[in-house]
Amino acid sequence: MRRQTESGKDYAKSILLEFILIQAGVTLAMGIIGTMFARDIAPGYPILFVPFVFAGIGVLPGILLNSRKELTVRQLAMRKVLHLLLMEGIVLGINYMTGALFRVEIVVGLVISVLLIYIFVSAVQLLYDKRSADKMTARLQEYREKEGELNV
Amino acid sequence: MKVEIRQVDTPEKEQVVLECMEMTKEFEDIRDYASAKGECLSGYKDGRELYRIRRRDILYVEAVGELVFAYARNQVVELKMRLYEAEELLKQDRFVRCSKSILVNLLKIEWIKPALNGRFCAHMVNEEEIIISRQYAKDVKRYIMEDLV
Repeated sequence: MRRQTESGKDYAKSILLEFILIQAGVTLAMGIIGTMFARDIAPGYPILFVPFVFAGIGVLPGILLNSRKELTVRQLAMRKVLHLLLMEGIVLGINYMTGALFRVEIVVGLVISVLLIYIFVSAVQLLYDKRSADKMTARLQEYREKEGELNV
Repeated sequence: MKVEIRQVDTPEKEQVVLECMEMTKEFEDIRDYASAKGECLSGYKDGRELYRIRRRDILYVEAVGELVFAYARNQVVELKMRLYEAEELLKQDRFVRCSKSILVNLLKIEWIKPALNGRFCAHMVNEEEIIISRQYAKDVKRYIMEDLV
């Protein structure tokens, strides 16, 4: 019987990939923002866990993008925008609670960082999918040519 | 007319043999019917008119509510069967389930491009675009890359 839903293993793989990408992006953003606005502060080892925490929280809003019904492109695009806004809210909220938002530039830096990370993650996924799509197209073309030969 | 039926043990041996003194219209009709039988699906056009559509002309089959429709370039035929039955029938003709309600004819796809959120978009020969949903994308890819021989 054909599976009606994505298997748990496939879903876990996609979540893990997203987790790793977000973590890489957050690490980079922290490095850049810290260098620009808090160069003299020497954070301790615990700060190395922050990207993991953000990545863990960052994959949760992905639930927004899942749906039992097939979404149209427009519906999906709207959900992606909501997803982004939710991510921005979560990041700013956590930083506000830890007292890190003590300058406007940091807020702006964080908002831009989240947006760039979001675009980065989406771009990597899109590039990966583009590669798959091109492979499938080439394979179909090859098969059609072969069938054409056999039918002559 | 005498009718003789002989049972065979493999599908490859199945055939219809016409023995006649002269190829009359009757025999031509029987010949045409037998030739087309394996290549066509029966359905209804415009709700009432019985119609036979060639499998290789079908671009995709879609279930809309309780109804199942086969779409060719210039016609739509309602098939009197469930989608899973159509899937079983059309398996050999390179049809694959690409979403909950659509079977797509892989041989009628011109190219594939990525869509949002792990989905793909199949551009058909009649310029229509069919969405390959995320749940089925992996199976479609595996079928194209491994099973299409």
